[in-house]
Amino acid sequence: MNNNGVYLRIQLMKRFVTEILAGNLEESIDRIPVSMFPRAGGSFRCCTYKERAITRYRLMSLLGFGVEEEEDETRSLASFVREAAGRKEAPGGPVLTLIDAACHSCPSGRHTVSNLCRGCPARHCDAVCPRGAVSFPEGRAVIDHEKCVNCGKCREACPYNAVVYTPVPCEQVCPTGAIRKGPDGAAAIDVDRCISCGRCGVNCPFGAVGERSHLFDVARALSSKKADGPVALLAPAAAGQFPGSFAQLTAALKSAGFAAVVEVARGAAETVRREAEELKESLAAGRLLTSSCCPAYTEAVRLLCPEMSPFVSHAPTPMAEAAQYARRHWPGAPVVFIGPCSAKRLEARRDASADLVLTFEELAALLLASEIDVAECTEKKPDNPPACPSQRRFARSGGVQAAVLAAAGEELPRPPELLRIDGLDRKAMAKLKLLASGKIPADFIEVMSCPGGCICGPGTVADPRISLRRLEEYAADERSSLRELEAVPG
Amino acid sequence: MNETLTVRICTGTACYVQGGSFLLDIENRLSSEEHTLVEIRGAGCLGACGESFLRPPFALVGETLMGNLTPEGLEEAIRSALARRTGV
Repeated sequence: MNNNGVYLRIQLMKRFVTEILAGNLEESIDRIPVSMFPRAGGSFRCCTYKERAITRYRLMSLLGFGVEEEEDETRSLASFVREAAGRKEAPGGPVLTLIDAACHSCPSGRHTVSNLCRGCPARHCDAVCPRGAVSFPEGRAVIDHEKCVNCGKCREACPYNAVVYTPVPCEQVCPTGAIRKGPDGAAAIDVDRCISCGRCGVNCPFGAVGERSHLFDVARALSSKKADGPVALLAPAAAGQFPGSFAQLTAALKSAGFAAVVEVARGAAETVRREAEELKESLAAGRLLTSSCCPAYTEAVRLLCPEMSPFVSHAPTPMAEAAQYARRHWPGAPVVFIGPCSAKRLEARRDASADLVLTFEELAALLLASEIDVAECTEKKPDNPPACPSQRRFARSGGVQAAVLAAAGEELPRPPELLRIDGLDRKAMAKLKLLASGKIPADFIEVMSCPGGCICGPGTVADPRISLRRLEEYAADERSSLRELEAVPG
Repeated sequence: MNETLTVRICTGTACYVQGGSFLLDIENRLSSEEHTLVEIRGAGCLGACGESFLRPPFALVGETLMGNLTPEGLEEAIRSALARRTGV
């Protein structure tokens, strides 16, 4: 999304990567907050000092640490750099971290009466309130927040639109109620409910939600200039995220130091094959089947809707398949998944498929720091056989279901009852429970946590409408898909 | 009759990933009459970020370099450039 907060985040990441590539991070990192926000430069918050403090915590999360882990406020960032440099694998711990210094402690989502209230004798607000929370001490409506249950009836009833609801953006979008205000008013993430979907971070206008990034580890692997550089697994959602074609982006990744680039969409071949088989079996048995490639969804099942787990497909995700391909062909090389998703960090850690995960936003910073303009790169083909259009469309809502149905085709015993959950929100979470218990009938459900699918993920940087258009161009690119499929052995 | 107004939207990587992609949908914001007066083109990197105190994303509206653009800002810039031309 194009806003100032995103701009500042990318600029900070770019600076961070520039220092890593120059081999200079440990010496310079403690100066970055000050040089990004000099005293004379102004700030977007109360003062430059607050900006600097927040920048320090952002740098911690870029190094792969959670803000919650800080035990000593005087500890230098340089010592975090040393600790990060010593680790052998991706940073552990919860994926999302709350930068409490940046959190505005928004007042809890509630209804208040604004000064637009005319104090009319009709008193619709009072008439519809089920809790008697509206009173008129000075001739105007006032809501008692102790009694109010936020049903919103008074807001709908007021002919002057005088009742306003002030939401808390992070709480509002969290599908699982994992982000809640702590005793000090600042939000906190309940790790036992968090599915790492990243929606809170996208919606927080204060940029208070960070991720334990792997950017440090990836940039270091790239700058080590070892013969067996890291292998990039490039998700299909990349198609619209950068200027130039998918093949140009492949070339850009190679210029940045990746030894090879694997097109993840190709991994969907196995996902589709297995899921189509499962669909035949489950239909015959009259059992429900759901897709399994969205890691935020499978985490939601694991944590909050275990009754759904018998129905989740066992097909490997395209990422897992692509990672296997990479391990076979480039043994020993670190495998880096590049995609739109924060929850993939969880998946990669759990099944040890990819070693590291990068978002498109992080890749953008990496390319800017390496001074690579994608549109000027000469096209290079990915290093695995090309994918089919239907496999590339996995990145959009409806794509997985369409591919599986096309593969299962006429072998299905009967036409399945289809359902799509396009965006996991609170309502969808409740619906999942009803589906699992059979109260809502369905045979085959595709679940995508992000509305619109992966192309709208929290790690994306481009306009979803443009991304969708360009994903279609990439999918339909016969030149790099079907025709060559016959020539290249599987 | 005025010649068409050329709008060049920078599609260098820095612009594209920092909001530039949102400008590419500008065609859908203009009326069909405005479409006949405006030619919208993507452009390779305009090289503006190094030289300007403005920040990405950039576009050239006629001869004027504009930075920190939003779709709304670009739409407004095009409209006012058109208005200046017709002397309204």
